[in-house]
Amino acid sequence: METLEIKDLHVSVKDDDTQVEKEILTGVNLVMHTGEVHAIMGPNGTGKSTLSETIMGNPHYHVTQGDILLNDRSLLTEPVDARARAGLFLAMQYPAEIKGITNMEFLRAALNARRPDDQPIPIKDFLAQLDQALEILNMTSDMAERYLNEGFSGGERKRNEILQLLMIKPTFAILDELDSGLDIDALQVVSKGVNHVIGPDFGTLMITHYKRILKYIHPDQVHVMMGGRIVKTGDATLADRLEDEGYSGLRDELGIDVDLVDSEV
Amino acid sequence: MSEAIGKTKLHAALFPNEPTWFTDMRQRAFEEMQITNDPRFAKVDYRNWGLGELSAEGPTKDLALVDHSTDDYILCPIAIAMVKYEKLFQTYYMKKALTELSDRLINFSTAFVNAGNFLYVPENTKLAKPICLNQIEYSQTSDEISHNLIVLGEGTQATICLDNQPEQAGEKIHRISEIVLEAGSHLNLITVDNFSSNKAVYVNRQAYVGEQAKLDWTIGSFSDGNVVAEMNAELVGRRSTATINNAAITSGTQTQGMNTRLTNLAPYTTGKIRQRGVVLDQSRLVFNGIGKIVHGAHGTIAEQENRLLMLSDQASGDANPILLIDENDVEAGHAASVGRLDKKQLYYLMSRGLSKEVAKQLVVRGFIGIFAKEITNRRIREAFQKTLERKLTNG
Repeated sequence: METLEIKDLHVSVKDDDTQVEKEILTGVNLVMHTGEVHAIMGPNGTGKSTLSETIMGNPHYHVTQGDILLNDRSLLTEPVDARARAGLFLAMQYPAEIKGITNMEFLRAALNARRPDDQPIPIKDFLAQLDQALEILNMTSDMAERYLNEGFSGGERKRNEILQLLMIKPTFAILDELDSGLDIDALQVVSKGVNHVIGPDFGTLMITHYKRILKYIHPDQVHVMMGGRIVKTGDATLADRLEDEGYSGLRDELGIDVDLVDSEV
Repeated sequence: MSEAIGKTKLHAALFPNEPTWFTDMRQRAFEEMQITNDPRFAKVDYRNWGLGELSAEGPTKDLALVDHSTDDYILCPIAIAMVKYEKLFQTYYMKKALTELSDRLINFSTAFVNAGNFLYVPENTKLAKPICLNQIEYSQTSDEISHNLIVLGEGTQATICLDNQPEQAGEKIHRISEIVLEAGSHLNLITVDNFSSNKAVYVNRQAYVGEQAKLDWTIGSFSDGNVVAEMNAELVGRRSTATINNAAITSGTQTQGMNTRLTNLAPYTTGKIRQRGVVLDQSRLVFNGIGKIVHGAHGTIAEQENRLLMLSDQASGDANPILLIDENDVEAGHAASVGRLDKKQLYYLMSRGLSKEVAKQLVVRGFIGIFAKEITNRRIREAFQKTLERKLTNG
């Protein structure tokens, strides 16, 4: 069993316009093991995406306190590519478009990055894996020949993120708002992809606003984030409660002093 | 060069059994050369490259003058063509694509031409296999001063590639190519320059595009030495189209300056210029994209995109789009950018485990390799990619 641990994590970001550092995460604590499905819910602007990007190692986010540990080894000094090879994966909300690089080239490079230089993945094995993954996601093989995310619709991008998840087979995956911008059919398909990798050797952290996706991917633990930290943890029923009472109900119950940007009318 | 010495050298340059009209053309160009100016390549100073001057005489090679013509087309050195196919050759040589002896380098090249191929594909020929012209076998002296003439007859379809051997002898290259597309013809033209670092290169390529003809032109500018290049397509016939895709890489201390022009001379013509350059080390790369629409060419489209990717703080680059429009009923647009590697793209690739080095390579290859991927013929595409790769890694 492997463990990903977030300890008292404080993170700040420099505003591009004003150049002022602003603290977004104010002490996040979280322990995940392989074999577990976690969900983080919370209102807009509470730091969910900051948390996922920081765990992955996006240089835009600065850790000012606390630690991120994979099997008790700190990842803080590791760059993003080393974290990826160590077993982390982030399905991004806004993956970059890269014209000129095909999906296929990119996937092969990603798999080969995890192998010794002189032992690249045999093309036959690669194509067999790719075909299987495409089939799970109801994707056609011409997706492989298209340029990376270029001109993809919202749904195609999400599928493509999950295609990479299926091919790369990380130890821990963070799925940042996988459900946003997806219709029901597409949501079912990407959920099927995620469920395919869920198992004893895989842990996942889903970031979401809504309960909707949790109908298809069942969480063992649900965490609620507000004001840059996790304020409550429970089982799947916590999500039901949030759906009924809204984030403001929980905020008032816990007596937390934060503004809920969007959810308060 | 004094006029007397020049004339002696001119006589030394004559092809065996050269027709009088051809020698007369040399003479005229030689005279014009004394009174014309060097062509202008904005923001490129090439005065001390030694272009437009003869080198000390190199060893003269035995000319392998072989006629490669088949049942489908005529292909031979111009030295043969001007004798064996004189009438046809004379109809096109400096008559349609390149018509004016307007600057000193054209005049120099015309006066002292010592090499080049003539390719004529007769009307309504559909060539399944590409024709590749490699310059060197026809080079007469160590410095190539060549003139290629490529003619596609009406309704003809062909894929033609034009390249060179990097190890080719000589210090200076002057290479003129005329490309004539008669009505309704379709040409996939792939030109790759891959000259070594000790050579100063001048290329001038002029295309004439007739009625409803279509030119798809991919250029690989992968030389290691200093280069000035003039690439020009003239949309002469109604409803003709031309696309020029230029991929250029500069490295070391070299300079490459390119004027890429498209002129819409007739109504309902479409011209597109797309240039992408990668600038490494202390090199300099200048793209001058020039789109011109003349009065009366209504319903035309002229678009251009010039993009440079700078990979070094010591490199310099310019992307200058110029649109000259003398007609109202047109669609014209341009985009230009000089940028560095996109951090978001690198982060995304690295987030999948790719090292920074590999991620950079992928982004750069993606940026510059995009035109290569559009070459339909597999063999030419792979050769193009190989040369590109050579330039990126060792350039």
